[in-house]
Amino acid sequence: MEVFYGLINGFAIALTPINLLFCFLGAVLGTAVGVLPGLGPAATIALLLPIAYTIASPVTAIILMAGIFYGSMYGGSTTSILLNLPGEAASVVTCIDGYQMARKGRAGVALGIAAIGSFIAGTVGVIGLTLFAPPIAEFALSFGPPEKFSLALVGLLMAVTLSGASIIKGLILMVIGLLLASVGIDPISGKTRFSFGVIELQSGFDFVTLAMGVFGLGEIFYNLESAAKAEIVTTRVGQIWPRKKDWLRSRWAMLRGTLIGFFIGIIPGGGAVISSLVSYAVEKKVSRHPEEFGKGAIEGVAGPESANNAASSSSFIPLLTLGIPGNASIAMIFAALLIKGVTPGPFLLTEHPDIFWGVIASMYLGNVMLLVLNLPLVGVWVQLLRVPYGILAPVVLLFTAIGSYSIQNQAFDIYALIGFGIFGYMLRKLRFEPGPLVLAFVLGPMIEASMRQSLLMSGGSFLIFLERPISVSLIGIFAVLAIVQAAATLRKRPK
Amino acid sequence: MAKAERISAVLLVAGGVFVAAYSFHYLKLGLMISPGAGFLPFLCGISIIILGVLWLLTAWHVKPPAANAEAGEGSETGAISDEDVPRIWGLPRKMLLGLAVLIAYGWLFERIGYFLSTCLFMFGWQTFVEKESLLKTVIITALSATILYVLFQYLLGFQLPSGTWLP
Repeated sequence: MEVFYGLINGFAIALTPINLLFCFLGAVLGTAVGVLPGLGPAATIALLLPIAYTIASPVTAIILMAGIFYGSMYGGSTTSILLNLPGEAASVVTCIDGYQMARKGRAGVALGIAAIGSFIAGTVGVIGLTLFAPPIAEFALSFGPPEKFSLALVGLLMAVTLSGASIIKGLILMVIGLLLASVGIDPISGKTRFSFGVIELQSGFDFVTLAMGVFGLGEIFYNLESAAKAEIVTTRVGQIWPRKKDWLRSRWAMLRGTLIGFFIGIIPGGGAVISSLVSYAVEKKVSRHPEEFGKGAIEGVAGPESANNAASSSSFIPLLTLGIPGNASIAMIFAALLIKGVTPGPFLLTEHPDIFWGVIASMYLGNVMLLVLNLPLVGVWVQLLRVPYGILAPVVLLFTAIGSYSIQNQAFDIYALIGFGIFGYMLRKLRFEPGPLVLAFVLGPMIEASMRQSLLMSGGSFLIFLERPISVSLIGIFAVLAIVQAAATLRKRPK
Repeated sequence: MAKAERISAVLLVAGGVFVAAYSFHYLKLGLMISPGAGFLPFLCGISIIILGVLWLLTAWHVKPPAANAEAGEGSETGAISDEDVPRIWGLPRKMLLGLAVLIAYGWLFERIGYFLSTCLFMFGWQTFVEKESLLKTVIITALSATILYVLFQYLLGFQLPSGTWLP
């Protein structure tokens, strides 16, 4: 019953004109970002973080950011299907069969089933979030410093090891992220760390500057080398509403995709990209016509598109209940909450029920808005690809520079932004996935504080992390997953 | 293994040594019961050294994926190939020009104020990076500087600098 009352209260908040407007803005921006290749959801939320300072209400700011995140999952399928060009990473797999459907004159049906699957999965994901989040948050209230330390560290390590990218490179970035988070005055001893006499560094690096630099600038610099001219869109969209046969073939794929996406989305490092890949593999495996995959099988669109949307909803569960961001985009939302003076975690539900339920309720509304925005207006979104990169890139750079400056009104932040931008560019050149860097940066202060508190509690013994049941369980779960992952890697390796 | 990765890994190990030494000598580690300001950075420094060495060794022994593979995709090591070297350490003209224009923008931003510096940035970008015609450059410059000014100054309420060099 508490869940029901909370949700009703959430709708009362989400349905206020200002929150509805920002939910709509988030959905529009998210779709645009999903459509435009070279500007992912994490980068866009990073670019918009300075705006979080100017939006008075935290719930409104988070509704906007969340809308961008799940909206991008809808938009990403459009260019995958029409141009064989994924707008964001989670839609890469949609290219395989979506583009083949478009080549056969069934682009409209592919777009339709992607949007409907996204809507169903997104809504089911939010229902799961509504039901699962409160009990998890209540359970997490019993966490002390050792549990918090283990949870944050295990969450980070899982994000690194399960993301599918290079584990060593992920760990390197994780450690660098922790190190960058330690720059500035140590809150316990008062000693200044790594500032080297630079006054502006005494308060440490700002998350917004780091995120905008690594994701926004880094991505722009990288794309400058390979910016392709926007293709002229000639694919005919045709009928959008799927036929009965398409429905029959897609329904179980959507259901399986939803379940896969929901559970993978909860795991740190899981997220939309992995869930769409897993869903595609499962669909191919269970299909009676696996030979059709790669040639325009509708299940190859319905499953992954449902999976990435369900994952984007369920990835809010660890953030809202445990204060653990599972991927880079969620880390940006974590930072936006901190900017508004709200600490995500188990106390969010009791101390800020308006944010907790308001954001969840807005996701129901946002999914409906996205369905309306994506089905009839697909032609409008495709026109976005006509915006030349030569205009988009400098405008984004100006946006990041001015946004970064505005945080503390100091030019130093622009130089720091450029520095992080060069760093982000080099990471891409060296094939590093920058997610673990920002995850470690946002969790760094919590990891250090809870580690020091735990050591104080135990009289200086690290065994405290193995003596507390919840802490040791978390470490155990990670150990099992790491072993499974290592075994899978060894199996794949050529003999 | 690409030269770029070898150099990066060595630089990383050197950075780790510096961080560990700085944390140990300057920040101090403290006691186990009450770790000092340098405790976590020291652990990070040591981890960077170990991971840097592992990166170097792993990338040396594992066959790199195709030259055009995306970050982390299809590779457990994320190693890059020698074919990538010219692309990595070669001079990406557009990127360097863009970077130069942006650094100049950062330097001028407070000195000549938002409007003038933004106009110069966009003009420089369209002229040097994109090589657009003069007319198109002027139109893009005027429009973007004005739209961003309205957005930041009036809609978002940011305080934009008016310029310390200007009267």
